[in-house]
Amino acid sequence: MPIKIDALTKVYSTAEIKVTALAPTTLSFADHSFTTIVGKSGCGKTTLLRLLAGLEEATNGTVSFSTKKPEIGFVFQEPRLMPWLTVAENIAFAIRKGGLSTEKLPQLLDILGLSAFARSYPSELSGGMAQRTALGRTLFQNPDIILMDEPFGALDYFTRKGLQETLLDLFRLERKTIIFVTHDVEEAILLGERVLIMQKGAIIGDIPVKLTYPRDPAASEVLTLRRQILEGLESKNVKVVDES
Amino acid sequence: MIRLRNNIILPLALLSAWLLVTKYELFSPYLLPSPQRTFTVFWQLFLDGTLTRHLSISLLRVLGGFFCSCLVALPLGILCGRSTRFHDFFWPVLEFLRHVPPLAAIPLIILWFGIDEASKLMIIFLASFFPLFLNTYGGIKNCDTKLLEVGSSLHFTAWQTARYIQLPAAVPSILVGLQLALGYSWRALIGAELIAASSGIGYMILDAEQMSRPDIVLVGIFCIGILGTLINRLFLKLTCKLLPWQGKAGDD
Repeated sequence: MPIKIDALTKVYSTAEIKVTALAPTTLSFADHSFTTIVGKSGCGKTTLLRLLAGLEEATNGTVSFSTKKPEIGFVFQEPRLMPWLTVAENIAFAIRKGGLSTEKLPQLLDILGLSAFARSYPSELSGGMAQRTALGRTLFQNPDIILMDEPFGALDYFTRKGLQETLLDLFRLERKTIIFVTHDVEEAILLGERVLIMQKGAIIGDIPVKLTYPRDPAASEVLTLRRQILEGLESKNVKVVDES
Repeated sequence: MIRLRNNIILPLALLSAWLLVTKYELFSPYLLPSPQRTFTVFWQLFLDGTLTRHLSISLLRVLGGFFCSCLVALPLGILCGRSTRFHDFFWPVLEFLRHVPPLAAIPLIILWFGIDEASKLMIIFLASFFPLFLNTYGGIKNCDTKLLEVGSSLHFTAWQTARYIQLPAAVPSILVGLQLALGYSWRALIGAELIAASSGIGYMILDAEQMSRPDIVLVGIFCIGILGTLINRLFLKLTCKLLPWQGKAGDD
């Protein structure tokens, strides 16, 4: 198990109130797996992801990895590109910390369909292209684990679908460990091998998705899973199947 | 073309008004010389080298003071923007000095540095320091936290974050500071030369006033305005070269 979290908790405290963003959670993520986390806004899914990335400090609990210091890539909700760099320079941004080469940059630009825009600046890109650039920046890093925080949330249906396909192609090709946060139930089922359902800072459901890729959103299995997850999000009656 | 036309309407109107006022002698020629007279004097001063000498001396002073200001204000702005400890250490003194106009310090500066070049450089330094320092500090301090988080997610060191994210993000703000500082330098120089100098465009104006030569005063004023505008234009061109990503709009 490359990622194991043990009683991980996050509480935000102000002078007046304490808000539990993540209730004590114990969980593990298998190597080379694609896990999606679905839940309503403010349910703590982004907090969980940020704790895994080390972008926030946990109030309690631990995160441990099987390898000593795995390379973690993070794709944010917004592209967060450096406005002064071109698409190619943004993708190769991680080169600045050393230990990487631009050798695979042309291939990456090609896979992401950005070769023609390599010398464009972020202000000249559409939302979809900007998010593809952000995905490229993370892939260039060659991480062992990719954490994605609603990366396609702000995109239109067709752009989102195209990016989902690109992501699945990359997953099948490189088999990275991916943890993908979304509020879109259908997206969670189409992408994940395992769907975690979150509500009010707690994991209330853990559903394996044993369907082959690519998945048809109109298939009866997908619709059944969709109904099951939606019911779970409305109430707490989801059967937890923790494979760990 | 339309913009150029709009740009020259007001200057042409003012020039015409000046021509008419002097033609019908609404003011005494000793108070307001005609445009023709002013241009003739300008040409004479240019041909005998007086104007070039004074202008080049003033320009060198501006560049010297501005350069010294850059050497101190830029690193200090970056350090204060990066480190709260540095900020807290320097801020009280800088805040005090910021509210003291350089012209108010001229008597003390003359006392300490004499009336040679050092005092003029000091006045220009004081005038240009704060716009540059504050813009550099603001640019570093107000760097988008979302971009900083990208650095954290890539496990950048503090130095890498400063070098590859904060500093480039602050460049537009720093360039505004440089532009303002250049303008302030020019204004402060004229002030300094009007008080204690034996050369420079400010001195030329003061000398002309004492010799009752308003035509030379006008030549000096026009030269300052035109040179200032040209320097600013040059700076804007340079800014466009340094910030190629700005002003490019995408079609989402």
